[in-house]
Amino acid sequence: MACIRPAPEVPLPGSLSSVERCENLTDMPLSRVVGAPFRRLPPTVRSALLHARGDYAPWEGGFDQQPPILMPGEVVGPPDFVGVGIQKAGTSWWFDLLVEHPGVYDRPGIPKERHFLTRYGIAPFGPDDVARYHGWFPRRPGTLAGEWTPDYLPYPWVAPLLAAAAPDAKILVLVREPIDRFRSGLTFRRRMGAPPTSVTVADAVRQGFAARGIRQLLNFFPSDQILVLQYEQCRDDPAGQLATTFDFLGLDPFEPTELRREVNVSGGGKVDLDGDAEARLVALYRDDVADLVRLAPSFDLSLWPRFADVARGHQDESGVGAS
Amino acid sequence: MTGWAGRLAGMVPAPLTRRLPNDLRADFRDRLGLEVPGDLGFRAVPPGQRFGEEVGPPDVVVLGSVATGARRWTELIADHPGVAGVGDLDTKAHLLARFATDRFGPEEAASFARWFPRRSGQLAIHWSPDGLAYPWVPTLLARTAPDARVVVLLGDPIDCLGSDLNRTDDLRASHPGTWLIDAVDRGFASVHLEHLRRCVPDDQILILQSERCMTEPGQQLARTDTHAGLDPASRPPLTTPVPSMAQLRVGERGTTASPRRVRRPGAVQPAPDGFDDGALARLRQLYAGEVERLVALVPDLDLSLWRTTVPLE
Repeated sequence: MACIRPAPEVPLPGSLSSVERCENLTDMPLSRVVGAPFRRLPPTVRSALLHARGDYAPWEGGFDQQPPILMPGEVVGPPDFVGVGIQKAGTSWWFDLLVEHPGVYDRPGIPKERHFLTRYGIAPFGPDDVARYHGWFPRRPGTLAGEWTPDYLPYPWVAPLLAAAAPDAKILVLVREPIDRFRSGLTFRRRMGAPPTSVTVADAVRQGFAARGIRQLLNFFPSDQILVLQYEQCRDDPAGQLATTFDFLGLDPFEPTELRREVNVSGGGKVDLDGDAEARLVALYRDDVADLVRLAPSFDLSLWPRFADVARGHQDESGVGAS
Repeated sequence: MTGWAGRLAGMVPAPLTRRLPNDLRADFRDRLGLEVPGDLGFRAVPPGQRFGEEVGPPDVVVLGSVATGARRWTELIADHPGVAGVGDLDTKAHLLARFATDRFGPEEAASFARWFPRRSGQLAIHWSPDGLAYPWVPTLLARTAPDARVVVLLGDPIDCLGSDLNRTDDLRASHPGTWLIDAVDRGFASVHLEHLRRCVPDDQILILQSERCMTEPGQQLARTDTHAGLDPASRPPLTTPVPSMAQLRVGERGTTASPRRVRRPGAVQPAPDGFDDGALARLRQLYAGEVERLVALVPDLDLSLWRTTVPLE
C-alpha cells in the first residue's frame, strides 16, 4: 500500500480540505477588529480569546442555543430535511447547492450546522427543547428549510432525538472514502485546535463508520426517508446527483449557477498517515464498507480503490442509496 | 518533561495552568514537548533493565476503562508472585493508543516490549484503558503480543458512562460532542468485542463482569489466574478489601490526557442518579440492543448486576 505523505491539498469541487468553522470563528467581531494578526494566532489561542468575549461556535458548549428572532413573513417548524453526515465529505458544497434552489429557504447568518441535538445525549429533551430546535428553521411559507450537521451520524443518541423532533424530515447522508475522509477529518480537527490526543483521533476514526450510523438511523426512520450519496459520484456527476437529491426532497428540477465551485478550500498539507497505519485503517473499515454497499447498492466501489475488492453481499432490504 | 521547557513549565503554578482551557493546555504541551500519557506526541523512555531481568511483550493484557475498575484489577493480578510488578502503569497505559496514524514495525514493537521487564519465569502485565474502545489497539496488540492472554472487564454501561464523562470533563466546554461520544461509545462493548475477537483467538480472551469482581474477588481472581496460566493456590490472600465500584471510579488515575485533573481531590463522578429521568430512559433505550448482543456474546453475564442499564420490569 502506498504511503501517504503530506501534500498540498488538491482543490476539488465542494472541497473537503477546509477550515469552514475557522472561517466562522474568524468572521466574528474580534477578528474583524484586529484582522490578520488574529488569524495568524494558533486556533486554540483564537478560541480562548473568543470564548473570553462570550463568542462560541455552534459546536461548542457555550454556544447560545436560543433560536434567531423571526423576520417579517417567516414562520418556523420542524426541518424538512436534515443532513447528518459525514464530516469532510463535501457537505458544505452540497448544502450550498441545495439552498440555491428557490424552493429552499436559508436565511444568511444561520449556520448550516446547527449542532443542536449533539448536546442532548444526557440532557433532558422535552417539548420546550423541540420547540427551540424548530425555532432554528425559519422559512417563508411554502419553502423548505433544513440543516446539515455532519457530526450527527456517528452520535447514536441523535437519531432518536431527531425522530422525536422532526419525524417527517428527509435525511441526507453524504459519504466519502473512509481513508481520505479520515485524513481530512483529522487535519481539520487539528487545525481547529482539537487537542492532540488519542481521544481526538478516536473521534476521527469513529466518524468513518458510515454504515454503523445508517443502521442506527434505520431504527428510527423508514428507508425511503433516507438518501445516502457518495461524495465521489457527486464530484464526478454533480448535475445527476443533485437532480436525485432535489427529487428526493420533492423539489422541482433546478440547475444552480455553478455546480463545481470550490467550497472551503484551504492550503497546507494533511496529517501524515504512515503506510502501515493506512493499511490497518483499511482493514478496520472493510466490514463497514461491505455493509455500506449492502445498504446503498448504487455505491461505486471502483471510486474507492482501497476498497475495490470488498465483496458485494446481498443487497439489504432497506436500500437507502441514490438510484 | 525535559530541558528548558520542562524547567519553565515547572515554574508556572499549577492553579494557573489549570485555569487555562483544556485545548490551550494541550496545545502548549504539544508545542513545548511536555506531552503526557494520552497525548499523541508522548514519548517516554522505557525503564532500564535490571540485572537478571528479561524483556518481551506482555503476557497478560487487561482491557477496560478506569470506570470498569480495570486498573485496580491489573494491580490485583500483579500481586501474584508469578507476575512482575506493574511498574509505571499510567505511563504505559496509552503506549499503543498513540500509534493510530503512525508506523508500528519491529522497532516500535521492540520498544514497546522494553516496558515489560520481568524475571525469568514471571509473567508481565499490561493495562490498556483504551484497548477495547479504540479499534486500532487490538490490531497492534495482536501484532506485538500475539500470545498474550487478554482479560476484558465490562461494567454496567450507564454507570460507566457517568464515570467516564467525569473523567474527561475537560473536553465538555470546547468539544461537547467528542466528550459525549467517547464515553457513550465505550458502552457499546459488543461492537468492540467483535473486533477484538477478529484480532485475538477466543481461547485467549477472558471476559469478566466488573461488578462480580468487586463482590466475589476471590473467585474472579482465581478465574483470571487460571486463564493467565498462573496457579491460584500460589496467590497470597487478599489483605485489603476490594474497593467498591464507586470508590474505584473516583479514586483511579491515569487515563486522561491531563493527569493533573484526575488527581484533583474530591472529584465526584456524576452518578447515574444525576441523569435526568428522560435522559436515563433514552440511554437505556440506546443500550437495549447492545445488552442483547452482549448477552449473546457473553452468556454468563449477570444482568441483575446492571440495574442502571437494565432496570427491573
